[in-house]
Amino acid sequence: MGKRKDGVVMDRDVLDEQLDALLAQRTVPEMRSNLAHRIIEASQDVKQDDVLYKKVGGALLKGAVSILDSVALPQPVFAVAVVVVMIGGAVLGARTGGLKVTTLLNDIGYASSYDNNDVETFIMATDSFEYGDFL
Amino acid sequence: MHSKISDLEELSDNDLMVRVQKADHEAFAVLVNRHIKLFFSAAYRMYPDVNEAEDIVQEAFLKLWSRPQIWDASKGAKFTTWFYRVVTNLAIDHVRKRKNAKGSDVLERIMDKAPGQDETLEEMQKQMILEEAIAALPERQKVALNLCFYEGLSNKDAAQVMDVNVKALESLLMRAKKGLKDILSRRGVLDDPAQGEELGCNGKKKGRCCYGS
Repeated sequence: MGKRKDGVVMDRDVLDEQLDALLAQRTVPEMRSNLAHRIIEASQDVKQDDVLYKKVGGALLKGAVSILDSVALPQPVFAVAVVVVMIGGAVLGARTGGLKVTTLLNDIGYASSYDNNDVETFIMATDSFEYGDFL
Repeated sequence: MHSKISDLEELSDNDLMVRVQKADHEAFAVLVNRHIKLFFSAAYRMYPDVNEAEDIVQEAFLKLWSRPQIWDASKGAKFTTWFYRVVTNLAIDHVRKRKNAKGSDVLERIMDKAPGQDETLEEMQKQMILEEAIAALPERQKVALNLCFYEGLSNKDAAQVMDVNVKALESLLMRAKKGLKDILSRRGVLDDPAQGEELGCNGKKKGRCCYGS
């Protein structure tokens, strides 16, 4: 606290003291006495999401994590493995020579399956039926 | 049953939380009873309305019960420090919602408080102005003030609750107090002769404000 030449003893310290005294007077009223009881009672109707999850899925999750942990690969090896799988998939896809397209027509005996190449036949067949005919 | 509860009362907050995470309802009850006053007080400081403060505390505890895994002991925070953050954030949400809904109603809330027998009108008026001044503070300054001044948290703990470093917390506290002093001096609640000096009478610097001249 500073005392100036003109005898005025006033600076921020006095204000601080006043403010602290005022803040200290700020009281908190009593809460309702049954608040704790209300909370505990309300919690009985509330499901514990995480506990439920833990109980139901915990064992499965744990198993999955342990399997993943046991096959942990160094990152470059993992990346190479992913690429190899993708290439393998592409090669296998190319070797099958196109997908077979099976339509609902099979079910009602008007047509069998069509090769991808046989698009024209497919379109002609489907055009000859109304939507409702299948239902 | 009774002996179980008294056994639970011996446990630390962290141990109780481990049990709460295993859906032990009695452990939750012990935790609620242990801390309800503390957190009601914290909520009320942020939102000076008994009903709202109770709602905030209830919401916070129910959130804790429904998702106890959000508390992670391995992060090293004390349960109370962590839960202050939960309560404070909920209180801030309530304040924002209420502000949007109908503006500040500090006056109304203070008037609703039943005054004590010895509470004079002047004191009530001072408290009212103080509440208005606190309500007008930026949220983070208000939180810092409440945690350090009223909840008695150390600067380190308060900083942890607010997710800032200690220096930033001290800066928030300083600004909060400065803001309050400015408002309260301007409104005549704090007796600030320096203000009289700055304003002066007849444009001259004076040590004390010259009322009535």
